[in-house]
Amino acid sequence: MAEVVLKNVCKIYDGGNKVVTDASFTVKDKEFVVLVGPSGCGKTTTLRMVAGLEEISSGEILIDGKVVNSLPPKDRDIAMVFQNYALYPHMTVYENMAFGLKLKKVEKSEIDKRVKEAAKILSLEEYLNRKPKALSGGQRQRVAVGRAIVRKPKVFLFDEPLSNLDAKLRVQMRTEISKLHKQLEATMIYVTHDQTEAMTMGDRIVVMKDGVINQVDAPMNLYNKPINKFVAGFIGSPAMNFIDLIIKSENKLTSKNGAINFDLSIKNKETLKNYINKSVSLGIRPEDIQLENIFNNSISIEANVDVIEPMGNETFIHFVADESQFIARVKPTKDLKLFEKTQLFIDADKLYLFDPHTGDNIV
Amino acid sequence: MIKKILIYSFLIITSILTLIPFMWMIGASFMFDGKASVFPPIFLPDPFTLTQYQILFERLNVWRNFFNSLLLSTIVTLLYITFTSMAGYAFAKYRFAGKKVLFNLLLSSMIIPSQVTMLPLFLLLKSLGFINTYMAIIIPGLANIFGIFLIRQYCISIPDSLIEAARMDGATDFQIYRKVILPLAIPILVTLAIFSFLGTWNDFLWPLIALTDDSMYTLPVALANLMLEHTKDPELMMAGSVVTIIPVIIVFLALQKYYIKGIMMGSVKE
Repeated sequence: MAEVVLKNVCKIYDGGNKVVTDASFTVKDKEFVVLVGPSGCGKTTTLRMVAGLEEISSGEILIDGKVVNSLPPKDRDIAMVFQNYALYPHMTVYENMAFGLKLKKVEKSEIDKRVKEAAKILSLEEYLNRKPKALSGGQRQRVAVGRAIVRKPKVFLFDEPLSNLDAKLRVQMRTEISKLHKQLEATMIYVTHDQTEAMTMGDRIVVMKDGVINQVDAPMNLYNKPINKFVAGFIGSPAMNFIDLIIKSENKLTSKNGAINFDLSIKNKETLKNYINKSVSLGIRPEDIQLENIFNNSISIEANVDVIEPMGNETFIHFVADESQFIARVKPTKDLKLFEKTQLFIDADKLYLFDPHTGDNIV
Repeated sequence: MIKKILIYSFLIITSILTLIPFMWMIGASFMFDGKASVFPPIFLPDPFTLTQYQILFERLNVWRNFFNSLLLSTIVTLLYITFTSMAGYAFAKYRFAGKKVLFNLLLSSMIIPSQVTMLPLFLLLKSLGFINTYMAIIIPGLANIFGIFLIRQYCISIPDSLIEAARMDGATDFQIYRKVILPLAIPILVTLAIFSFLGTWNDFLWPLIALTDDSMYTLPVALANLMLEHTKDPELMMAGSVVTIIPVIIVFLALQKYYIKGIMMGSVKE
């Protein structure tokens, strides 16, 4: 297995369209790194550059310490699982998995051994003689993973492999891929737009937006210490609430027409001094807004109930206060009525402040 | 229900109308001289005879002409499929400078009638010393824009990810073409093979111009000679026609099951 290093990698298409800008990060040996971001953020292009399917405009990509910029995909010793499976329709499951090994002229007995091993890991043994069209979506995706496994590559690349599966199967395959990672002890790079997949699967996550890497960190660090408003809003479901407020003094925040007033107990008061009488974006996670005061240090505000979404084990409640909308994640409750004014408690220790222009986290 | 009956009646009537000349041809080929030229036409030979076939094989070098037709049609079809599939695949999936211009140029050449190109083609082949050789038929049949266009359109529908997957699996460009594209393109290749085989087998004008020796003639050319010599022998003519079309029918029946076979199903999630 191997380490993958990206150094200032850029991708500029003909016509000057810059899709990846200065991407630099390291995927350690045996690490599972997830590239996450909204559609068009350049995550798939980055993965395809690692794969060798896309040329690099500038920068360097190293696999196992060797610069691979000009190496064709087959010489990079990597395997890729595609979003749409990309199985050869005229070949059986066995032939699909054996294709790469046959091209490498691996001995027949060895091919047979590896294919059967992979089929066992992926519970595909009884489907080896079937053609892809006779398989379900989940099975096809497993064949695609199997095709990667048999080659025993240095690095596995996954390009949104679960996005074509239904919700239940997606959760199942998610755990299977995580297990596979532990079992194979392989270096894996995984692209997804789904933050839940990123949070649950990745050892570390690379968050991208508009071709730029915003933050590279462990899932919980991204959640608890987002570097900017985009990362804060992208990681977590439901997303973080943002309310535009004005800083009146070092510890006083107010909304434009004064309906919301916060007393802040933020440690980093020096930074806040620069923002006095300026607007900032206040970030609150949905679970840090509750109907009862369960926090050590809380702030109380009043808001109108707009929408109630019971999920069974929890309830999402949308509130409106002073033209700002926000969502709370609370225990199931029957006490609330739509459009009624309610008192809310916010955990004052878990507030985030973002610069309204740069989006940077300022506390 | 009534709609169904109408459609079926229409289809049955059209089929019968199409089959009438065909049935007459077969019937007449088994009749004695003069029996076929009557009105209303007779379809069943009475008495039945193989005389016309005997005369045909005695007077004409039918086996030789048959061999020429079969050899040329087979070679042309194989080469045609090879070249058009490579070109069509390249036009569909490769990025190269001038691709669009070149393709449009080729497409625009379709408006030139083939008869117009016959004289320059003849002069070209003559200067190469190919007239009255098999090459005179093979070379012009190697590829045409119709085939390239059809394969290109088909290849466009093959997802790029399949080609990329093969590339990741370590396949070279030729291996991708040979092991991924060709098997997937079988329906369109068979369709084109039928067109090409029928076209070469039935072609009359070009072989008549390019082949000058009796022993080099293809069946349609030989048959035309027969027509000149035996204008008043429709039974013999029909025997010649039957011999000419039988192989074509066999080829068509053998390949038709591959005609429109949807083997793409299940390869990728659309």
